[in-house]
Amino acid sequence: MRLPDDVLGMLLLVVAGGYAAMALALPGGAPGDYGPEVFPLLISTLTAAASLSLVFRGLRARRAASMPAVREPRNWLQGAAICAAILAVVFVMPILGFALTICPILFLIFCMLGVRIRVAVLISILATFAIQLIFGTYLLVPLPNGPSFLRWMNF
Amino acid sequence: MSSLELAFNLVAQWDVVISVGLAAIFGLFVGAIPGLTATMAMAVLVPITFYLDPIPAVGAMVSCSAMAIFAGDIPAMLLRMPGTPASAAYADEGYRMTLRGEAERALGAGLLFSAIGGLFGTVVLMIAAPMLAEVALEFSSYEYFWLALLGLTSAVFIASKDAPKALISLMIGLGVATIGLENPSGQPRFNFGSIELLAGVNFIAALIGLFAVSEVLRNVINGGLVAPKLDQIRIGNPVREWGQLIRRYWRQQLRGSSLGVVIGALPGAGADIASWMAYAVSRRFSRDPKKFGTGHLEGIVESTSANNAALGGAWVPALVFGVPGDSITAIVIGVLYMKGMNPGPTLFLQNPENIYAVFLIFIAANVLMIGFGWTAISIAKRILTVPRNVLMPIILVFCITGAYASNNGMFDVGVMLAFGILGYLMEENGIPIAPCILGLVLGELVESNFITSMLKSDGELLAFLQRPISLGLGIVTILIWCIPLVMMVRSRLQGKALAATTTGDH
Repeated sequence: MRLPDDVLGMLLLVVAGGYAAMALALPGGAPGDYGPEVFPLLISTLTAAASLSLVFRGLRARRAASMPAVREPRNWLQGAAICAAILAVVFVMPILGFALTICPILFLIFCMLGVRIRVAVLISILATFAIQLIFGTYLLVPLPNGPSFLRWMNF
Repeated sequence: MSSLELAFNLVAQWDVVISVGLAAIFGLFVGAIPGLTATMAMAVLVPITFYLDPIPAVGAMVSCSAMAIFAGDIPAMLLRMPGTPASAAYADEGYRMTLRGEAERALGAGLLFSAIGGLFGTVVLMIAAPMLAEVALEFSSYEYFWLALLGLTSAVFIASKDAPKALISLMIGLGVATIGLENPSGQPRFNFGSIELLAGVNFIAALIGLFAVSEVLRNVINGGLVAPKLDQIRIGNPVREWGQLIRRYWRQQLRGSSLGVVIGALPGAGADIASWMAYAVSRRFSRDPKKFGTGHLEGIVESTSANNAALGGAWVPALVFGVPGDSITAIVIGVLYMKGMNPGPTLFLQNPENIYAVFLIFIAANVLMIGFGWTAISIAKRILTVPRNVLMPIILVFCITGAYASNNGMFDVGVMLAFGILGYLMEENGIPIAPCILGLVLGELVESNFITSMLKSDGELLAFLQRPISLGLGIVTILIWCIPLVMMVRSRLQGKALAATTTGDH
């Protein structure tokens, strides 16, 4: 998602404005005149200045603008699927546990990226086992266990 | 028992040896894969160091970063695909040597001068850091403010080709650092009612997202999952000509290492800038400048010495002031805080054995680099042909588990995803990520020292320039701000002169 400099600049200008508005709405509380809004206001001012510079640069370069890189729609879908997989982990892992969540998700991502099914099954199982061993067993990270009848999977 | 003996005892432990060794292998592997940076290797390593004792944790970071920077040379020279940005300066030069059948010479020189450059940087770190620490004890909020600002300024105006975009990246980092309660007034800011965000954004989750998840997304979306072909290249014995190379290129080695240390020590600029500058300097002072770009070893020697020496240099401001020299040391500072080894001058007074242990690990890592590097070169073909469509999902699961492990909660996996998307969008639009990380690390330091100084001086801005060191740091910072202005005036004058010459010709 490559935006021309002027569009990017305008977008960031809006973000800087929103951030400044939120900063101004902060309740005071610091001693003297330097409350919690001072530093955020400095940040939003500098962001606005840099964004304006991008807008002017973008407008000047409009005529000479090069074509943005074209991405295959399939690649965008794959990128979205990766993000969806991470979101799924956030919500599913506390319920199903580490191994039962990661292994199928890893398998699905492998398949989506064109890995042969037999290889995908093998690597998904091995990688899940290895990562659970490293983090769960050796580094003692309390990875989610999932339902009690599936705890045998947590080696 | 002296501090040095204590340091030897700290380093000569099995957990240190094993973690340094494994991190070295990991660094070599990640560094050798084109597109995966040394910073990404460090980001993925952070959650693991969380569960190690302080010395093995820092040792793992040192050896991983040193190996990754060297390993970037391998695909750079064999495929013209730099493994890390630090190898980009001489990728073309090395590849041309490979095409001439001189791959072993190019790789051998890369390995040798990387190790020597790394050792040079370590010696400077060992000498300069304790000396600077004594000076740093005199620092007040004014000096710390200017120093942090100098780091941020360097990241925007020196380390980046596009100053407005680098400034935006920095502001994103500083903006994210304002989230939560950690501010001089103690008021919760921008947490949108979230209890998790009261403590601020989890630095590790943000880091993994910005560097690792964004890389996975880039590989998937930009279609970079095809493994490079490496059929016709034969690699022989890379150490065959070392004696001859040292005799012939000692000047370039010394100049590159010195420049690398200086650039590395400058807050905000790191190994990649050092490498490019060393290459340019080498060409400028070479007796055969015309040979540059045709597969000439001189520039490779100077640049590869510089990028490894920069690593040691970057640790100087990181250890002494807590101001990172580059994005790698920005991560290291996070780990040092986690481990209770808070960077700053008092670290040298209260726990000198810890600092000496870090120095010893630096030496060991650079010596180990020769053995590990040789092995990596020998098996380079296999490393380089690991399919990306297998590697990327595994890295993704490491990222998820690492982000979860940083706080044992799923919220940080969500934070990682948000920053992964942000990192991808930033890079897609030419906004560099490194200034954002520096902003995240230095945000609190800049704000607290700025507000404290303003309160101390009752709003008098001149007070920021009334102490000798703060005056010096302030002048350097303001001079760097003027660089774009000077460049703009210079290019306009050159344009006018060119136009006048063209008109005169007609």
